[in-house]
Amino acid sequence: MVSIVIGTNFYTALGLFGVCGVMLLGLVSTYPAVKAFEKGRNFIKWYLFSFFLFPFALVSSFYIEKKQF
Amino acid sequence: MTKTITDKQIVTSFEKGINSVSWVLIRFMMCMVPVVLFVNGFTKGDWFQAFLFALSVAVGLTPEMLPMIVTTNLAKGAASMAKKKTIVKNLNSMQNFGAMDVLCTDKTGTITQDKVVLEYYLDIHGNEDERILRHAFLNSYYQTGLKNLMDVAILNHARSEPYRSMKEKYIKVDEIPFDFNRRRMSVVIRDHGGKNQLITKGAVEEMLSISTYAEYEGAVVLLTDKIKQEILSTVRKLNSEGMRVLAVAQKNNPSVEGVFSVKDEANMVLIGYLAFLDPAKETATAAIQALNEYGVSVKVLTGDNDAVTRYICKQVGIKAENLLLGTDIYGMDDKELSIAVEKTNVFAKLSPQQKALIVRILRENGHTVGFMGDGINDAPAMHEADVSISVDTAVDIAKESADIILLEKDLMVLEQGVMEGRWTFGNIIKYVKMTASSNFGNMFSVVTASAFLPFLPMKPIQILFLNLIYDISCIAIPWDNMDEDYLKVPRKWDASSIGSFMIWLGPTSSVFDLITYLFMFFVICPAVYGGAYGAAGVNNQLFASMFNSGWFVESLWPQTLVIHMIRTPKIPFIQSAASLPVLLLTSASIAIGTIIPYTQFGKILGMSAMPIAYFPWLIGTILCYMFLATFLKTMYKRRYGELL
Repeated sequence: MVSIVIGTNFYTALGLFGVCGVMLLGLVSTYPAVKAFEKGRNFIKWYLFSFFLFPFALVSSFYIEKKQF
Repeated sequence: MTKTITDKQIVTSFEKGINSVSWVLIRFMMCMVPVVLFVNGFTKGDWFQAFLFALSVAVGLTPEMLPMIVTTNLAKGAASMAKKKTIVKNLNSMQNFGAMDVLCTDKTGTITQDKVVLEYYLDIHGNEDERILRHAFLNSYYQTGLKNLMDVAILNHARSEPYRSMKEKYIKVDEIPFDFNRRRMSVVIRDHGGKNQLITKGAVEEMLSISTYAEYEGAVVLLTDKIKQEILSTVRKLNSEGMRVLAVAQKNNPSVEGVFSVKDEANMVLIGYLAFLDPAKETATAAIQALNEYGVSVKVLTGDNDAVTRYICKQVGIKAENLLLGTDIYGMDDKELSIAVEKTNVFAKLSPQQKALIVRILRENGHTVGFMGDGINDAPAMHEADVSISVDTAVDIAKESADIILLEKDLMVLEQGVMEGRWTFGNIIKYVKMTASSNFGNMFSVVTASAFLPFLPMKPIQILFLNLIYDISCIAIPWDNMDEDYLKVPRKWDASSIGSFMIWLGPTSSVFDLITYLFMFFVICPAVYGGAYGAAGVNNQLFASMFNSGWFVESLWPQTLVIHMIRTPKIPFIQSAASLPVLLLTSASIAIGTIIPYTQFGKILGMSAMPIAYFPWLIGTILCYMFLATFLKTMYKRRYGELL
């Protein structure tokens, strides 16, 4: 069924699914980064962490302690 | 002073910001368009179609509605102020009004009434003496410069016949006009006997400095320190009761005729002083309190003395504990002054240049400063301020320097002006952020489609029509509502917030564009035309046409709904609703755009009617888009503190 739908359009499927997936990941990665930012962490570093290792970043953002300055 | 006023006015951050946003979006477009052209050209092979597509993308990315939105918002704000009897001479000042967080105001005629009453005319020992009034009358009557409120008060008080007939007894010989440094003015008159007399009227300290003698009950005595202290003590008592005091001095046969000058104002005989009552406007207290509630601090900058100023400030609710005088400021460098201006609310005995200096220092400290004044001495400060306000009874130069003129004496209009300014700014920034984020998001969608789809995702004519519908739906933005919370604090242009908004919210619609591509390309179109694109028996042209229609409709919904999503940090429609014009226009745009593929006009544009199965998918996509946009809005607000 998939081969009927995709046919010779494998490149199109790969490209569209790939870009869409990356963009969705980029958007949801903001959640752990914002949570960590509110606890005093660097937003950019946590965003990159979240983007590449989302499940770990998500769990970590709940368990890290708030930074005392 | 003339040079200061005629210098070119500084361009505000708002004007620079609007220009820079336009150029950023134009540069964006100029980078994007060649990329789209070459990607489509190389992948599809049809360079002409690729060129038309790139051109239509360029039109779509150009912020053509921005000038209209900005001007309409500013003009609407000005029209609203006109209904409240306020003239907005400079449209851009509406935005500055909203950004203003410090209002510097003159005292006399602005927070006090434009009517001063002469209460007492006293000799040097504090006894009432009409001779003082006669001399003051002659000084005020014969001076040809601008008559200030105290001259008017003297002339109004001395209306009876004895004073009127005095004009027949004297002729004017010369005058030494008022200036804000000497703080006094003189006239030289001659009686029928040929005796010349110099009569000088001015601020008490300045008059004591030029007087060597004092006159009491016809006898001229040396002006001793004891007499000076007695005079100053009486004057201070009058000041503490809110009265302004001017001293009067005279000298017989001052100089050879025709060569009168400032040096003649020496060795004068002090004869007495006048006390004027200058009450605060009835609406001053409420207006200042309202401004404070909306995050605008009020500072008084006056040339008057400190005691009267303290009295008036106490009446209207301005704290005057850290009062600074012009002489204190004279000894400070810019660094010391930049610290002092933050802690001080009241400045007295200022020269016009010092008023302008304080405004400049406040601006350099990062504040958006308004200045309200009515006199000649306010003009330099008004020129220096971000927004200058004057009153209808002001002198011509003050009205000329002002961006805004209050025709009514009611100062509550200041609060309304601040609200209008923030409302105006809010609606402008909505459009700017919406357009910037939409264009950024569209960039991803168009480049991805160009790279991975075997045909153009939308025909050039369809892109232009989509752009037209979107532009029409934006027309109502100047009439949109603003959340109460948004209006509570000053709103200043912040270029970095636009960039961050673009990056965070832009890709939101792109995600759903890509999901629509996938759904149309791999589900809907194969289902309708019996197979994948390029497969045997599939009409590729109709396949592409239906794909175009599907993306056209899906693209229109989020692009129009984003107006509702980003206009408020709250949940749209439920916690914060747009105004009726916005609701109607956006609904009409969505309805028209959705129906078009089913009409003859849609066929002309190259669209095909979508099957019914498309619509549950469309509604699901839009709900997911709204959910994702709300999620990102919340994340953005938690990261940066505010949305708009």
